[in-house]
Amino acid sequence: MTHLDPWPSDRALRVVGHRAVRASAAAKVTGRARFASDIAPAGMLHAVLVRAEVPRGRVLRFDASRAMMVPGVVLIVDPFDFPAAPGTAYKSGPAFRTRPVIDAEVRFVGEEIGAVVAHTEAAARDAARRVHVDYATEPAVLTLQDALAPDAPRLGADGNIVGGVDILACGDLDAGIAAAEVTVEAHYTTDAQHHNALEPHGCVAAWEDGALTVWDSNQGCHAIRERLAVVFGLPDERVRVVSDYVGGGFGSKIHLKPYHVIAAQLARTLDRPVRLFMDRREEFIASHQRAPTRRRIRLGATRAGHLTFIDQTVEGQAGPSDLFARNAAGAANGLRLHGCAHLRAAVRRVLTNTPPPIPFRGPTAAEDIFCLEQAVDELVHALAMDPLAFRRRNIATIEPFARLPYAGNGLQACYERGAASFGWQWQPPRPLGGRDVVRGVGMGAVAYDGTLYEESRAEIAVHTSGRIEVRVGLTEIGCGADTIFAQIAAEELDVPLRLIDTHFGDTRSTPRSIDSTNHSRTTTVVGPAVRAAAQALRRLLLEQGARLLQAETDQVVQCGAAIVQRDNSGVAITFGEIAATAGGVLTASGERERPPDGVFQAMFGAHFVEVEVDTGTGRVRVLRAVCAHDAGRVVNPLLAESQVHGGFLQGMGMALLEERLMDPTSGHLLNATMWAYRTPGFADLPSSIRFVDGSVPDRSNSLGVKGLGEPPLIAAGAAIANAIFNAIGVRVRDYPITPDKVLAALAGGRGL
Amino acid sequence: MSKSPWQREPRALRVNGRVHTVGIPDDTTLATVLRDGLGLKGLKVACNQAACGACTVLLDDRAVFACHVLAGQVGNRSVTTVEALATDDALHPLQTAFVDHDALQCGFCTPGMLMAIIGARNAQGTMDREQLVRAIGGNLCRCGAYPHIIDAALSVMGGTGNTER
Repeated sequence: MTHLDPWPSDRALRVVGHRAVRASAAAKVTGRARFASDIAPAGMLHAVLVRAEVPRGRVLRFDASRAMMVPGVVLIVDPFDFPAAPGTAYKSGPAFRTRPVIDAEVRFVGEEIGAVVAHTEAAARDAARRVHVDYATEPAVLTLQDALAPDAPRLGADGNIVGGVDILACGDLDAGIAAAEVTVEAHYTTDAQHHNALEPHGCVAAWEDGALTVWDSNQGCHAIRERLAVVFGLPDERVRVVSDYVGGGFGSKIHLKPYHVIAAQLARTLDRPVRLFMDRREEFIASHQRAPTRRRIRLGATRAGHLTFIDQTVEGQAGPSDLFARNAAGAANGLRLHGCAHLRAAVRRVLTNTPPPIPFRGPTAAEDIFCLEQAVDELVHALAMDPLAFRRRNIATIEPFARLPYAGNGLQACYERGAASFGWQWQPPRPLGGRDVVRGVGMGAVAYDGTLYEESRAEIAVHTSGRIEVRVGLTEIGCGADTIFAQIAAEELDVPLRLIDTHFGDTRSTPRSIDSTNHSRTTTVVGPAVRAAAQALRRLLLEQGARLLQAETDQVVQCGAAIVQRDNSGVAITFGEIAATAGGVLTASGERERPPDGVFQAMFGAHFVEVEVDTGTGRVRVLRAVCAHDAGRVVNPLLAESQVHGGFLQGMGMALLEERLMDPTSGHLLNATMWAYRTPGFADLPSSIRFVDGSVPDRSNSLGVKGLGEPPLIAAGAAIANAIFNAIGVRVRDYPITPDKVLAALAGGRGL
Repeated sequence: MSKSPWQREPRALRVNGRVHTVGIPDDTTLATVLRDGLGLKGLKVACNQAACGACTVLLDDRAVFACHVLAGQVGNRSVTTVEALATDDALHPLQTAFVDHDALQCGFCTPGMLMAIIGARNAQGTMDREQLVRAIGGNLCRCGAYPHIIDAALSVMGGTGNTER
């Protein structure tokens, strides 16, 4: 493996760090970009899933006789005769786990119990509605409260807590409590949050000569391919997954899901391409979501404002099995955010008859830090300090669990640059008069564990045309990987950015660069591999160029996209000409370098927010936000702004708007539409969301980069909640902070 | 005997300056006709509930949600989709503004967003930020590209009032 010196952090680079426009923008604005849901091979049939209408029980009878009479219906499969894939099972989650994709056991409303295939999607949906199902129902548990009640039905062999109580701890909690001069304690909750990507989950599956092709809306074409290969007992190269463009994921499209296997199996059974996409209701009820959580947080500090301990108990909804339980709750990122020697969290992941939680942008960390940073603000208020001054006093010097220094910690820079940009001037809340529209400011910070190392490979090819193609095996979901890898390659190859295309999203023509685009790690993991490939290609071009010019390599030099003789003779050969002599294409590949030992990588950020609260209606408006983030090095400030806008707005949605309304007896979701489940729209926008670069060099990889995808969501919630407190002087500790909760808090008048 | 909804009568539909003859039941949505019948896949069906705007097209010059217009309601009005905005050599100025301002992320809402802005402009002329936000408030972008969308749209209004960044 080649060694790459870090890029300099003290001077500007030529392409990296500049506002290049998004590579895929032209395809997206013209409507030429083809998403999986746009694919329609000849002879394609449409499948729709039949979903359970009870939260717990078994299917006794599945009567499809009326459904079969709908014109255009081709096939209906029920839970008793689903044509099994070779393993009748699929692999998902961190470990190899299996469960049938369609069976008679029902564990939540919306679980897959059958499928209809027809000539049109409308006919398939019509028929699916006409299937009559009889169930043997069992008592269900739908909330954390239900599940933890002493007489609750037991969903697991060991009761309703998955894998016992998970304890995260360091230091000596008793010593920390003894050292505290001021202590606060409060209870907080966060709600389920639905991803609601505009492109629903789904795929088109087709078989040819025993090989499977799936056009799929996912976050990781290589991961989906490998898992489908396992399910269907095929070598990887007999499965191709194509995901050229994906209409949003936010964590929901990482895993292999039942629909993948069902579509592929139906296509094989019928020997026709099959399209299977969710409608919007299915997107809500059965495409999974962020887990609801609740927690008790107790923390204390000295009068001088030094944190002495944090102690929490955390509970999160794990859904019906342990398969996705790790997404139910966590506490590590909140505990590593501030310097504090004595930390403890007891985390329980609780079984419920609700859809399993899957990652959502900052999974478990957003729930954690939305609450913890509100608790910190409560402590700061009890100390009568400025929240910024308190945070400055509690900067972490090491990561508390691994006990390693951070490879880069820009939290202080985020505080200073963010506060300066915002014009931070804090005053304690003032007593309210009658009905009024009042303003307040608040802040909140984020720490988020990064990815120090993962294997990754990238390729770069030069074609006779002179075009340079970066090939990365990943799915681009809108984060900008299409653009920044071209920038990295252009920088390293020392050629103009306009010569470079990035190819991604097709497992047949890309190396495996990453399993999936998640955990804010694509740039960190794949970026150095792209740089290594560019360096290898440059060396290859110099060698080949010199040979073709009948010179030694030290007698030639690269000039733009050509190799020229050093003697000023004007003798040169272009990259395209070199590729022509190599059969039309010259390719080099690169691997991700090993990281240095003894460091911990984490992303940091701090948000500053001003809100307005109408004390008569309880309505909250975010007026402006400053979002300072440490991303190590920002590869593209224009795209970074986009990421920060999107993250902040999704965090704002979780903090103020997005609420799951589930019927407490039937387990049915009552607001499974895009108007009843409110995600932020134009009308909710602050007048500005300003990204401030708080990056400090990160020494864990040769680019000096770390992620920026998730932290802007995670930091948003508490900053908004703290600004609401600053405006009205009372706390709302249950997210989302809807007008009814604001009014109830004002009526209760507790807090000041 | 009553007419089966599956009987298809040929019907003329004006789309992007051409007249197409399509055989479709009257209760088929315009979105389905455009996407599945004519292969115009630019517009997206994201909610099919008239709640997100990803399927926005122009009917004559006004923006409509194609998922909630039936083929039988179109009559002889002309339909314009995102595919008609760019010529062979040039993007529409609003498309260029979207590229320059990075007014998109995943791109799934983008065709509908463009048509909504153009429809609003046709209806109201030059708009300021407040008017624009009201006019296109029914179009959702889950990636949260809104601030850059506003910047892009205002930059082609010929007016001032770019949002603070």
